[in-house]
Order: sequence, then structure tokens, then C-alpha cells
Amino acid sequence: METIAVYWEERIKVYGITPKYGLALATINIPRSELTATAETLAELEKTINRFELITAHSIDDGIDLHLLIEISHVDTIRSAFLTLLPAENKTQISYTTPVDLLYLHGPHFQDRFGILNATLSALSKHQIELVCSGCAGTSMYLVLQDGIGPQGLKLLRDAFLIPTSC
Amino acid sequence: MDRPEKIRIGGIKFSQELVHVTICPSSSTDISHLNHLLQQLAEKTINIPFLCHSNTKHSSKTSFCVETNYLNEVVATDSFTAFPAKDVKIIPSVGTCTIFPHKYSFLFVSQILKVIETFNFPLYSLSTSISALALNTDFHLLDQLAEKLVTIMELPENHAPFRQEFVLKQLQQ
Repeated sequence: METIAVYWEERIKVYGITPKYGLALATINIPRSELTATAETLAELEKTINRFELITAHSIDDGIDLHLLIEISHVDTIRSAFLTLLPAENKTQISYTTPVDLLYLHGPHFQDRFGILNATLSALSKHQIELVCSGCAGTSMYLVLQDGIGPQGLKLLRDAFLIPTSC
Repeated sequence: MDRPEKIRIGGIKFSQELVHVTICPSSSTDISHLNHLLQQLAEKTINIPFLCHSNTKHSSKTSFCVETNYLNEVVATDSFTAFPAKDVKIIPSVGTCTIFPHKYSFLFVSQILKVIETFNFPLYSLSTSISALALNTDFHLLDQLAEKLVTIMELPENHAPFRQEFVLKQLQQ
């Protein structure tokens, strides 16, 4: 049995677009052999950092590149944790891109509908705005932009998408 | 307060079988090809249920998933063929395992990474969303992954991983 849903909208509706400016993006290059030790170091961060903003990861040859988006105020905590908790011979490497801006949005059935990513990225790329990092899963899209570009990106996305408001 | 032995979660969800595509653009021209590729996929009404992208000073990389039956259409687009073969990696038969809620917890992420490493699951890509963590691994390993996750995570009683029993497909007007 096949269920067919017909859904069309002139402007894609989203529940909201949230900006957060002046964050830090940590890029952690983790050899596969060091994944457990690095994961345990991440677990220790729970004691002092109450939240991350975004975590994404790609596989690379024999390991992963993990991107961690946090408040700038947590950079020293993370730097210290990786210096003190990982043994000196550990090959995990961490670098920072800071500050960066974040825009995140979510909407109905994002993961089931075509064109959402294209609408988002084309709105930005038409104005030469490139993403530093992005994670799009489920109904959410997280877009990390260069420092200072967030407000322009926010305006462009608010033009591209429709945020319904109550009457 | 002592840390609970298992992390309480709301559920685990499996995607249908997908194809995982990774593109590592080596020039700004390639990055514009990437944008063009997404546009062409939208024109073909091909949904992208997962994407993660990074463009740091060291490298640029984009990974995305599409349904397996769309792979031929994806690789046939002229923007895709513009990428050098060395910059593209395609992994057939991938599944997305979504675990929720993450509650922005480092411990949550840490435990999942440790399961991945301890039991040697492939990890092709990963991203958090507003409430969940989605990771891509081999499709035939999803059940095994869930079995290992429940050794460190507590699910609601009588919960079994959600599998999508119907497909939402947006029709082009």
C-alpha cells in the first residue's frame, strides 16, 4: 500500500532561525587508535562545560575529523583538558577557528523533503557567503559562518524562508 | 550525586538504506560545483536527509546521503562529473542511526564514540541536530550497533529502534 502526501509551499516554512555569534570551532583530528582516549577526554568536559552547540565529524584515512562548536569562554578549558588528560605521545591534534557565527534553523519534515539544502545554501552563496562548517540532520540545519557574517546570513535566510507568526 | 551507570535516552531510529557520498573539493571552483550539485539534486527532487560540511584552513569536505535508488542520477549530473575521481568517495549501503535526546551532553557523545571504537563500527560521518545525534555506518550493522548502544544507554521499556515504515516523498508541483 502506498501513501502519497502532497505538499507544496511557495516559501519553505521553518519554526525559527536562531543566531549565536562569537563562538569557537574546535577541529580535532583523531587517529582511530586514539578515539577512545579522546572520547574519554570529551567526557571530562561534562564537568565544566554544560553544553556544546554542534558536533560534526567526517571519517578520514585511519581516523576522524571532529568539529566541536562551543562558547568562546570554553576554549581554554578544552585546551587544558586535551593537554593534561591525553598522554604526551597521543597523536590527537586540535586547532581552533575563532570567533565564528552560528545560524540554526529547523522545520517540518526537513529530512524527508528535497530542496531544503539548496534553498539554504543558494540564498547564502548568491552573496558569496561560504560555510565554515555545517551539520544538517533530522529536522535541523546548523550553519557556521565566518566571524561577523552572521547578521547578513540571518537576513538572507529570513528572506528565503517563512517563519509563520500567530495572528 | 553519583553518575548513573547508563545514560537515559528517548529512543534510537534507523534510516532506510542510503548511499554516502563524500566530496573533498580541492579548489574554490569545486566548491561552486558543490553548490551547483545541490541545486541539480533539488531539480531532480532528490532528498538529502543528511549532510555535513567543513571548510577549514586545512581542507574542505562535504558528506551527504541519498536513497540508494538515486545514486545513478547523482553521479550522472554534470556538476558531479566535474569533480576529479580522487576527490570523491561513494559508500553504498549506509544507514543513519539517530539517537535522542543528546541534551548537549559531552558524556553522551563520548559514550557513543567509545562504542564505535570498541566494537570497530565504521563511522563515515556524524552530526548533532537540535535534539539528536545522527551517525552514518554500514546499513547491515545498524542492529548490531543498537545492541551495543543499549549496553551503555537506557531505553524506555519495550522500545525497539524505530524503522521508517513509510516514505515521505515531496512531489514536484
